[in-house]
Amino acid sequence: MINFLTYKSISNRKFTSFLCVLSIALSVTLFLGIERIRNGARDGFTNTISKTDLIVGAKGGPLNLLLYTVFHIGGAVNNIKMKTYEEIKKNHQVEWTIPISLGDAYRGFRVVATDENFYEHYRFRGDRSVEMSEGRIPNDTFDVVIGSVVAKKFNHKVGDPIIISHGISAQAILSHDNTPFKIIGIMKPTSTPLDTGVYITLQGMEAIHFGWETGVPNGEKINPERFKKENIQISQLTSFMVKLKSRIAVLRMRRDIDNYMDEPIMAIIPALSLQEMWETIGYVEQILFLVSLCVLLVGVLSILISLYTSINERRREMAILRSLGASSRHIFFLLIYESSFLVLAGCILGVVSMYGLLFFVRPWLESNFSVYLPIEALSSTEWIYLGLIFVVGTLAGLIPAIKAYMNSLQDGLTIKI
Amino acid sequence: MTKAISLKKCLFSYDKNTKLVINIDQLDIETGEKVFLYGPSGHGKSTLLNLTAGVLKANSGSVEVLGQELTKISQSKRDHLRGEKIGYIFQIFNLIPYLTVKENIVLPCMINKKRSDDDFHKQAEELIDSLGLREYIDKKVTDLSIGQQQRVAAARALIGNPQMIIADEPTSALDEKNTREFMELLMNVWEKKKFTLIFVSHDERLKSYFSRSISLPEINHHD
Ligand SMILES: Nc1ncnc2c1ncn2[C@@H]1O[C@H](COP(=O)(O)OP(=O)(O)OP(=O)(O)O)[C@@H](O)[C@H]1O
Ligand SMILES: [Mg+2]
Repeated sequence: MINFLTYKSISNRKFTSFLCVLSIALSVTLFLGIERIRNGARDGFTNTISKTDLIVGAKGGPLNLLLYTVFHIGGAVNNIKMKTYEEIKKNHQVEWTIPISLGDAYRGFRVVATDENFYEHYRFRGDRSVEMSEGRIPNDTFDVVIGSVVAKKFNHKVGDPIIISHGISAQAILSHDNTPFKIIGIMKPTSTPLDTGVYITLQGMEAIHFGWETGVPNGEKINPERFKKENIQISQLTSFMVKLKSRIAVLRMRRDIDNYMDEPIMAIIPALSLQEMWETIGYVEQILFLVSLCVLLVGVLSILISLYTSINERRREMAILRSLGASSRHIFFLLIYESSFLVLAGCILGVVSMYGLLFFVRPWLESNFSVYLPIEALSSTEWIYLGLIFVVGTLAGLIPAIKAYMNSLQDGLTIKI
Repeated sequence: MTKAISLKKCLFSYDKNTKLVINIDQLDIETGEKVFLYGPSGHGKSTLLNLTAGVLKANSGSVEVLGQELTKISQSKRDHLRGEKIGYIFQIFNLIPYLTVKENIVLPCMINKKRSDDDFHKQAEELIDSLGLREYIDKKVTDLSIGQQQRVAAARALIGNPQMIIADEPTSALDEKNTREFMELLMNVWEKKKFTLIFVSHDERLKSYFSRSISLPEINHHD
């Protein structure tokens, strides 16, 4: 009986019911969508680098170490000795290391000197690794790989020669004119700081500073034999990344590095530091959360309003059913049944359109805002949200239902047709 | 014979402070009686019917209907009693606009188990045929004329063998021929089922169909 009447009644008011479902769907879409963007922004940020357990550099500010190693922002005060790196690398706890040497730039973009470990082990956004869209990884002294943003900005192709300037400012006065590099690879876009890097080998970094020992070029001609990769000795690094065989060892390893005797160095746990950093700039996240709460509130109100008006339209109908013997309980269930049906339909439509929207805005958000939005199944939190929306929406339908329950029978029956 | 309806010292007003609409000392209607109730417009006929059907509740006095004292039971119990045992043809027909003729007619059987004993679909079809509504059976009631709607309301009251039929001017919108046919059908059904019938009309010519007629102004002293 209830099924039949609900079905008939809703199909009689197709348009208003549809509007009601639409408004619920809209709030569900917005709420879940904003929540996803909020989480995506955080995940995008805190997963700028993943898998790396420790970042090691000269003693100084931990935030600074994170910024120059991962985000290519600022610079190190001191370098660390190659000997130190070799020693830690040999530690039996260590699975792999990625050495980093910084200091120069190419037209405003940071030059990062590293070795093949970087291409093999560096991970971000969970398990994504560095991939080439063109060419291969650098091998020779003057090989260079550029990030996608750099390539796009200067319209570089594989094979183009580039000149690296000394120091990190964009308006460099001194440049390494006599040691031109050749682009041998371009990275795929990642929407992380990787895109704005210019990657050379550690040997390349040493080589361009031959004859620069005083800080300026001394003008001497350098024997080409010295540029051969196998003839170059690496003397120092800026920082390096460490992955341990077991996570349990991380804290201990960090303490050992902080207390390292031969040189003042320190280690940070990137995941933790990123999290801390996000929290300091996290007011954005809180604002987003507030916005989504407002959206939800408006959504619930709109459920209430549309159910309330529909009940008002139906006072007479309810009275007729009661005049035929339907109990107040019947009427009550009829209304609750209808409101929960509408809310359920709204939730389903909302989730579907959320995925639809996600599908379209995803690439744009990722490339413009580094917001990382994988298309995943509903998380348990989202299920809880949906459950709450359903309950709250149904409860909102309760208010008009209670009102209908209280309306006297005569009230409905005397409304003139 | 037992009493189907028994009113004693019954007072009713729509608002506590306004004048009484109903003030009846004593009114008894036997089970199976056919009663014709008449009186001038605005005198309280519909109000009296609503009191006996449990739509309204008397301010004081006693209203006993089909063995239940209506002033002492809850609204939902009164709704239940009406749903199960009383077929009510309202003066304004109170059909559900988005349902078809057939769906409106079987509604009491869907709501009340007691009224769906027999094959009520078959019963509905019979009523539809005898009321000349066959060609409108699957039409929405809003697409029907007022007279046709009145017949649908009558069929809805008659379905499921109620013990009492309360009819509030069911023929007001029917022409002479249809009125006669309607009255004959009603009497035919009554012959078979012998339910208690209370029938309100302005049209005193219909008196002859009934076993008793009551002039409301004679028993209702509300002034
Ligand atoms: N819902 C209501 N609220 C207040 N007063 C009402 C209400 N319904 C009816 N009345 C008043 O009660 C009195 C009796 O009304 P009722 O409808 O019972 O008359 P009636 O005899 O059925 O008239 P008619 O023959 O025109 O249908 C009238 O004076 C009317 O104004
Ligand atoms: Mg009346």
